[in-house]
Amino acid sequence: MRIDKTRHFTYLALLSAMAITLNLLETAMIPPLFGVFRIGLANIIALVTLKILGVKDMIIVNIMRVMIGNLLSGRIFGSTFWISFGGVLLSTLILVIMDKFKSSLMFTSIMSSIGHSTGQVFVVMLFYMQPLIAAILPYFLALSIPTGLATGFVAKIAVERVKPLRKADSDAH
Amino acid sequence: MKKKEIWITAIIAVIAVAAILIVNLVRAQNKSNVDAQASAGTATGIPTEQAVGQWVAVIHGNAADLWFDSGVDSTYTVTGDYGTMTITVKDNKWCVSSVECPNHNCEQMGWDDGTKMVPITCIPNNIIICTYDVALNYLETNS
Repeated sequence: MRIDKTRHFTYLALLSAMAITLNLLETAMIPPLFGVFRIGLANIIALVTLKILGVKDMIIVNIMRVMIGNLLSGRIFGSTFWISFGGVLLSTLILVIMDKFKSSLMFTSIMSSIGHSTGQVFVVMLFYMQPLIAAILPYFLALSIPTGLATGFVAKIAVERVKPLRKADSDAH
Repeated sequence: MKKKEIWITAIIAVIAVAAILIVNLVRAQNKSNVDAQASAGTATGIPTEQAVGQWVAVIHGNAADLWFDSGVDSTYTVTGDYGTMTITVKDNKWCVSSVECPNHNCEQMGWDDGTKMVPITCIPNNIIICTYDVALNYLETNS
């Protein structure tokens, strides 16, 4: 029981670290499209966590990635943080709903990507009083489909490779 | 992906494309309305003299802090909520060459000639750099 708990926390810590690293790498190396739109590479880890560990742990990983990621990049509680927080909040909510409906990983990824960009736009619209930014939403919606498919595809490969490893690990104990 | 999910994705894609067309149509209509007002001399807020290129506004908060002519090569400095921003104008295009803010996203947005779908925006400084038609629409919405 104790070993199971330790193993679970180890997985959670590893996935959180991966999500934070991807978040930081994307911020540092890939410039945002149109100055604001990010692909959301860390979403891959959120999807993997959802499929491997479940909803509760996915929420923890997402919170960790947005909090620690922004803390490490020195942007905590700045405008970028709140925009990113809005995106992660909505995408997490959609991931929870999609999990309830037992949707496929690819579709979950597309919807989560849409949620991520829509959340960001809503934060800019409501909290930064920029209603005209709503005009960008259709472009984000269109872009979210290929980016969601891409992240979903990578997440699917990762889940397929991690699941047998976890099973072997459980059998060994 | 299930068949139902493919259909939902296709519907979202169609909605997105239709919305993009509508947004572009509204923008074009808005631009022609403002152009008509400007030529009739009834447009308020835009500088009255004829621009070599086109008039571009630097909006800080809810007011235009600066108007510049995109046809005149120059460098302008404005002060936002966070710090100063330097705008470079060259060959009918403009960009943010330096800015005091933690993100520097507006610097990464590169050169704009008014055809970009999103105007150069700096959220920490609360500054938007946009063409006269977008500026008038924005100022009317926020007044």
